[in-house]
Amino acid sequence: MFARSRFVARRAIKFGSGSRTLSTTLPRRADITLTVDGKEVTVPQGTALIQACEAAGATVPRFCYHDRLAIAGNCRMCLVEVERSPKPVASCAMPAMPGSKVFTNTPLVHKAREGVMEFLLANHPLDCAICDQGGECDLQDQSMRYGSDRTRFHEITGKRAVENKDLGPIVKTSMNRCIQCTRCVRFANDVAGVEDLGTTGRGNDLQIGMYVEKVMDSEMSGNIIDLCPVGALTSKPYAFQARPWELKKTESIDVLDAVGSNIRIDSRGVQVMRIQPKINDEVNEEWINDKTRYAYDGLKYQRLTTPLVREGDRFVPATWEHALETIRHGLINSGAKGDEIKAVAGHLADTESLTTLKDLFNKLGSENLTLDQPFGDSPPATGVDLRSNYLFNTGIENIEEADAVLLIGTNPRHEAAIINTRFRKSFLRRGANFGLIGETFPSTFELEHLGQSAKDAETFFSKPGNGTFAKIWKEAKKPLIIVGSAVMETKDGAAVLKAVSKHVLANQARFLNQEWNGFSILQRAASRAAAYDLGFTPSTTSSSVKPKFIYLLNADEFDPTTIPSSSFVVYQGHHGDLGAQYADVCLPGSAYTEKSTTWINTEGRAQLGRTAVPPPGASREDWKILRALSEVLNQPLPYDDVLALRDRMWDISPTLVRYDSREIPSVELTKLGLQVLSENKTSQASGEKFKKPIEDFYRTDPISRASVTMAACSKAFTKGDYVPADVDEGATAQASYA
Amino acid sequence: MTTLARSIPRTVKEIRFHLCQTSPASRGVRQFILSSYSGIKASNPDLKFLVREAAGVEPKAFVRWERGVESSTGLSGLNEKDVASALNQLVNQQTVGKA
Amino acid sequence: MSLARSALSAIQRPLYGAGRRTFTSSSSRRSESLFVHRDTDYNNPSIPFTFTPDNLKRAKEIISRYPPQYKKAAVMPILDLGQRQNKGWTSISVMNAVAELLEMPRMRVYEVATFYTMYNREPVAENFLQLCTTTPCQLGGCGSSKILHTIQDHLKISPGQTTKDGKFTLIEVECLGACSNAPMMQIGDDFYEDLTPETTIKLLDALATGEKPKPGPQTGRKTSENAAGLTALTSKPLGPGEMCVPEFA
Repeated sequence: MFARSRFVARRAIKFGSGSRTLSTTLPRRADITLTVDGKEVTVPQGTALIQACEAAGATVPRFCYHDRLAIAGNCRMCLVEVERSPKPVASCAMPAMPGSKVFTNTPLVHKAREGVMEFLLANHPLDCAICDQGGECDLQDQSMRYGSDRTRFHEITGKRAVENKDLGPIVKTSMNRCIQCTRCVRFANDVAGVEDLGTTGRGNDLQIGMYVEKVMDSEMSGNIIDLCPVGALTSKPYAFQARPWELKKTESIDVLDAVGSNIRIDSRGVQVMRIQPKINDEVNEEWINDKTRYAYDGLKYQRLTTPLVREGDRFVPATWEHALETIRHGLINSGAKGDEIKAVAGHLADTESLTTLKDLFNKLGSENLTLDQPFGDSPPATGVDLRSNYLFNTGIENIEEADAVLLIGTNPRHEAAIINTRFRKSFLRRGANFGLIGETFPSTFELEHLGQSAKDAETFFSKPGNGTFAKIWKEAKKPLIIVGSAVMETKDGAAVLKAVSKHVLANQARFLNQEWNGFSILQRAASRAAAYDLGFTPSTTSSSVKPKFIYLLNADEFDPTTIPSSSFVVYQGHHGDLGAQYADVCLPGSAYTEKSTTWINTEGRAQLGRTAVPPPGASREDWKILRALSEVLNQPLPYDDVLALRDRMWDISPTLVRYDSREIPSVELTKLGLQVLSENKTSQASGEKFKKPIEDFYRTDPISRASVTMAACSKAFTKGDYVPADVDEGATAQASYA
Repeated sequence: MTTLARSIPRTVKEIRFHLCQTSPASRGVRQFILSSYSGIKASNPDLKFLVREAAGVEPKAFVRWERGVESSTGLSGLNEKDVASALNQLVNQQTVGKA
Repeated sequence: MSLARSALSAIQRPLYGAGRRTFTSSSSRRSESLFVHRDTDYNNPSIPFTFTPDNLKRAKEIISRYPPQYKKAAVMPILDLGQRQNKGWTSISVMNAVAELLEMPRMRVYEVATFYTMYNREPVAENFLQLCTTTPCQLGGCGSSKILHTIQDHLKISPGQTTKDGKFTLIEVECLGACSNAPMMQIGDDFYEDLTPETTIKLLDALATGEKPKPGPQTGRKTSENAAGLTALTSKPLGPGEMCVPEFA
């Protein structure tokens, strides 16, 4: 990811009519050679000098420069000496020139850095003791390394003071500390798509803020906290909780949506203190959305910590032996046979426990393995035979190459916020065009609303008409169709897929070739891709059988009317949410931060989460509970440790344990899959409008529903009911959620 | 192929294929799947026919019967006809286990 | 050292005498104006503002001067147009209307409006007195300090304030470029130069009654010409064909 040099015109984007980049040519990729500190280095033409210096191994300090944001060049900390230049040069803004000699360690450079540091510290308050950024502060680190050791600050009038802005329940601002690097402004404009942050005033009076009292209504707002090099923007839920050196950092995977963002769980003892993003250029770059970042405090509330057995209308804590025996008696007494034994898997079920559950139920003679979504009792419309039918085949990083994107029945801003940032990137940099068939949503890029229902989708493919998007769609070289998972949860799912697959097959040359696959399904639950890969779906006859024994594995989104009152229900999960209410026995499992399990994201990429904290109370790892249950039910499973279980997963599908790489289905089998979809016998699409599956972005699963921070966000952003706290209130305005 | 399609007993719940996207050893399996998939699915709508591709794996077929019992056989380097007969043998064999 | 100490004591607030102990002994230096917006009942986004049809025509002409995909380049002249329509000050509604007209995010308009000092973000009176108090005007004529005191005594306001009857707002501004006619002030769009305390008072009284005095030097001379009569360039300038070599005659 190379920074664009300032000579490539940047976007001129505003809401309203479409006007895009002045120039869409990509920088030339010819290589140039220059010398940095005596070392020769070769970089593609157009890279910034700072990147050339980094490539040569010289660390250049910086505050305002960031690889993934536009270049600002206002902090002046990256000054380096270039031969034959009268002044030191801001390496972030200067493109690397062939044959230039660059020095990053000369006395001139040292003096320049000390000078810049002195200016920055002149108006910076002495807050280190009470500032959250202490210990991980760029200003602290760079002043220790590059600054001078003594101050010359003797201003009678003291330091500049700036008002704190109230940006919402997530970002705590302390604008005295702001060094006006404008990273937050550039992020909000380019990546998050919220063009509300800016710089008002000028000179010494420059303030970063919204100008008016407004909250930062973006699902990516937490990332400006990471970006801010000083403690001006800090995390309100995490304020004053911990110092970075106390925290144990564990790399893991996020499961609150299906993107599988790589995260770093910072924990202290048994408590998760915060969640930070981890760089993965192929999935989430360097960002995570607010739900991923802040729902962790839900891990403390409403937890199931001991097995519970229902007696009458109350739950009584029980031992594991008692609970498992109760389940065995329940199964025998219910008289359930074959498909009357039903499993329902939820959004947060990990791959290991899905495998164990499937194996156990197959041993019990049941094929009735369902998912907790509407129409989850029948086999999914996409089928599970061919992987390309239910995965995001394009690959998340390749989204940026698309020039026309058609979204069907999906709201990417809520369902996969990271993918939404990729859309915005391609919108700004390549002028990609977007069309939407479904319910509109406030989007961060311009899109043409083409229709609302499955019928409109069929019409668009058969008679596209002459709209702007339709014309671009016909000529697009890399078109991309994204069908949201919610479409398959309606009765029109098969019809939509039929129309889409017919269209893709008719335009095969553009959609499916060696370098591009333009047909993708966007999942929104972390467990779905894994469940489909395993074949964890019911047979066509299962839904006609009335279940007598139901096993809910982290299932909390099911329709309660599907549970007959006479059935025996077991709930295995980590929160007391909807599932536990209907259960006869509750078995406490672990949450995603407490187990080391495999998660398959919407692209089919297997990633390994890791244990950061131990599970509370008597909870156990989910697959181990099922293994123990299999012993009690006299159907012992053939694996006793997780490696043997992963061997079993390999036997089911090697893609489940090929970590961190995406196994792309071959073109021929993709075409076969599409043929199957296009030939299915289904009724005509109805005119029923698609509905957004996620009503409240901040409350979509048991963990976020139990979280106080998410409740505050839901109140502020979804309901728009935010009362700015009085800054002087102190304790209640800050750090109230821990 | 149609004989195979009709001869799959009802006790077979799931047939799985592992193959590699690019290697020549998997070519037979790939041809088999492309030609027989629709026929088999049409005659056995309740049968799960999972196709799982991963780079560099040895092509194999797995069959899952009732009660979770499984058998498997290797299909490396076989051509389409041989794949069909290997599969036929697998689904109709009287004893279970790895072939 | 004694100079520094006396300077320090001159700035110190007289709170020590009141028996209060302050944390810091330095004074604060406040900025010129507020760079955030606070909703008040006279300045809030719900107050409607729309451009008049005439102004819309002018706006279209302005926008046409810039490339069509860069409508936002016209933000500064359009903001000025809005300010003039809105009685000389740019309220938040004006900024929002400009943003909508030019199809740009509101924040970009706020950034421009707060950067430049001539976009008044607080209401100003009909007669906006902008007195130049930089060095050339302090040295020229009777000195701008005298003019400032005259205005302050006459109108009973200090710089930054508006009179009670809402007729005059006074601010001190930087050099307006009329240094040879010092001291001077700008009222609205017009320069009133060569001021003396008497002419200033006459000016203010005339404005208070609603008249519009003639702009320019108030002493009667023509622009910055020599008041006692020209000492050079007294003859008519040479026109085309005059005093030329024969070929060009």
